[in-house]
Amino acid sequence: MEDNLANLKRGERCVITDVSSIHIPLKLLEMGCLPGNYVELVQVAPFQDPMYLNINGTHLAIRKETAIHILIKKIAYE
Amino acid sequence: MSKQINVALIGNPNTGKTSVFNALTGLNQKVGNYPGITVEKKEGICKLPRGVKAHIIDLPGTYSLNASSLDENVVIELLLNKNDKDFPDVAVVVSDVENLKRNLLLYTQIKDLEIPTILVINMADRMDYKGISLDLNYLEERLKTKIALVSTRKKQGIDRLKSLITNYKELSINHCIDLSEIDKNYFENLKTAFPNQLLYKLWLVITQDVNFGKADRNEIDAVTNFKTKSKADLKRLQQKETIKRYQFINDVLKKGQTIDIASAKDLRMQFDRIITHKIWGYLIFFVILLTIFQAIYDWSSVPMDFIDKTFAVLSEWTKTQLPKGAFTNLLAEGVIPGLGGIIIFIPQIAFLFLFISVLEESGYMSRVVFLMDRIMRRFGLSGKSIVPLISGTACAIPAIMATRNIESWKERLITILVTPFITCSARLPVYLIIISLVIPEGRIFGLGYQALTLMFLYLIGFLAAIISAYILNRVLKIKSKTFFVVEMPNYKLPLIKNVAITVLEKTKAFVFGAGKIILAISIVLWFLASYGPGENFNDAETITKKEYANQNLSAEELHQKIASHKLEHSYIGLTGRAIEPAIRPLGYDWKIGIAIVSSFAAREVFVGTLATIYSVGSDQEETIKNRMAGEINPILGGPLFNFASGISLLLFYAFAMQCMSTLAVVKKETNSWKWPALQLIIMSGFAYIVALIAFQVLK
Amino acid sequence: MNPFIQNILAITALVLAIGFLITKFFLKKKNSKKACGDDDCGCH
Repeated sequence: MEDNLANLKRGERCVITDVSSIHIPLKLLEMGCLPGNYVELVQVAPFQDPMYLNINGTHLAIRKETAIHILIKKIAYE
Repeated sequence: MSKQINVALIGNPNTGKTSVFNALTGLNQKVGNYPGITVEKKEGICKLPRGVKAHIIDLPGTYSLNASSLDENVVIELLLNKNDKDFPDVAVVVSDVENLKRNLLLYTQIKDLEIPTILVINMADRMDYKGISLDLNYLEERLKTKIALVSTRKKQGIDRLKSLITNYKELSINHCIDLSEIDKNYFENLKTAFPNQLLYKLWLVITQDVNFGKADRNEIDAVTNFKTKSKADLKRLQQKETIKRYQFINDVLKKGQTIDIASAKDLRMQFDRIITHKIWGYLIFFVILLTIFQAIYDWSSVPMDFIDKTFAVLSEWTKTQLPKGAFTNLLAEGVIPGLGGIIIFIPQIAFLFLFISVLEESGYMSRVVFLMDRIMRRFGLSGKSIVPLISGTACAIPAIMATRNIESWKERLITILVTPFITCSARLPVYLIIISLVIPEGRIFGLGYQALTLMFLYLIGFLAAIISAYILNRVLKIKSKTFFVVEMPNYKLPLIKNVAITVLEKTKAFVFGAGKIILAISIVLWFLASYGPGENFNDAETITKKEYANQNLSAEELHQKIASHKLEHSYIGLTGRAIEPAIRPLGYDWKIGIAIVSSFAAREVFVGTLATIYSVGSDQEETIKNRMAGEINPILGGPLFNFASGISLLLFYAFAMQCMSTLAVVKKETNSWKWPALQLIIMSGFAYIVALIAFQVLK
Repeated sequence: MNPFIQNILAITALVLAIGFLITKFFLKKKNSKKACGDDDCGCH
């Protein structure tokens, strides 16, 4: 099911499906936010914003306004 | 003279690039600015085998050559300009073994510029811990380079790096990625149009909004005409390029790197669940801040008292032991108190930078950025503004320079404008001396009134910054794209060498930067206070003697009267008198007025100025504080520094924009006189009004 | 040391100090880099 990254809950995991939105800064892609990579939500600040993510081993924080443009597919823990 | 090799150190932030720089150059380094902008430029000399020397530039950390901030522009400007005197003969890309994949992105970009490149894989000591093993021969072959596996913590690999630099001519300059595979048509056209140019260089010139001031203008204009694609299309191509680079890197690392996940340990996530927690996170941050302020206050009071007393003794000694004359007086009353006024700040500045650099080195600062972003955004600031605001407690100048990594211009401008409200270390001595004069020593709930007053002053500085940010956010009509991507680096034990070098650099910068100004002003002030026009000054002795002829004054008392009469009619006295009407409603006399005026060179001059003014003509060995306590208000009587005038002075210093150097930096960073002028008028006007109200209510 | 030399030394110090302050604050080298005024100078 298609979803966006802003809807990820703490402890959930997902895989990135699409980052072609013009609203996603290039820098984010360069830091490893690319289709096919796994994402885990480490922590959220109050109001779910910003979000602290672990993308394939890179730990970074982004704002919710950016996260809604990143399309994902949630996956279950094995 | 032997030939120097130009070396550029390039790497992502948090890869330990600065540690490598420190390991190569030791104390053989200097920090300056790039011309026209206040991006810090660190360069140093490294001695290589066989008498060769390398000139090493530590370029600002960047994730990619696609620049998104002023810092990063510096990197690309240098690498695209072969005519720059610093253009590297060899680039050293520093990477972190734990984040090799991401770090290699920048490496492939540099390679594609066909600059000889050495790859440093840093933090090799972490490999076992993380279960990482590398096939270096394979990596060297695929990446077409030589690799130095370095651990600055264990001092390994630096010799190999040095010998690789020495033999840089043997490095391959073949590129890694063939751009034309991304969009055949577009790039073939580009190649045909500019057959002699490097394709990747052309591509960078087309996509970057960088100021290529120094590069060849004609060349660039020609390429700019080639912007046949829309911005969105170009961006899509950049996305494809990034994906393409990662495909190459993944392919290389599949065989070159093995990670044994079972033996890998990552405590970062466990730590961060607590340190960035909604409640615990803020609590920890608050406790850390409190500890820092307490420590600065406690630890520096002993050395400061010692320095104060030492200079009082030294001044007295000079006066009695050296032959009498104008120069001896200048030394004893102008130069020595002036020097004391510089050196007395060293303990505080050193401690403050010690804490700030430990917070940054350890990786904690990024967590604070994360915690504060949402709150700061309400006030038109960014989470990244918290770093300038905290460093503003040391000095507004480096703080304003630290705003460069805020990507949104509006958030950056607001941060620059409000940072001077933060209580900087230059205000601290003014606060400390006035607090000790006018605030009683009692305690409430175990906390001293004096310490509470100090904390209150820090608090109102912070509130003033936040509230004015809120107003500016409403008032300023600037459209600006914002985006916010912050890396959360792994926690690291700060390297003592790095912290020590930072503390040393900043303290040195203060002593030799602000210090020279303070010293020069003290000398000028001494002259203005020691000489005056007309008979009123020259015949001070006869006039005073006549005036007090009937009273039975001791020789000592008479001497004092003569000295103060002289001071009143000296050049500085006359100037002070002229401005007195403006400051009398605030509870100040003309001597404080002079101190305030001279504070515009630097706030910390305040104490030094009063020290110089009060010590002219005085023979006693006295500390500055005792001299100030002895001053009498000429009109109202009673001590000049009482509760009302003291509070008024504290508030004035809390809000007024009194630092020329800060104004100069703001001018530089915003490239307009409008913003510093606005700061000067609004902040100082506000300070005057608040101080006026405080004095009139309290007196 | 006679007072004359003392005066010379003192005045030299004064001239040096004033000279330093003037070069520091009034003879700033002019930088004509590109303006970064109300707009965000394309640096993002």
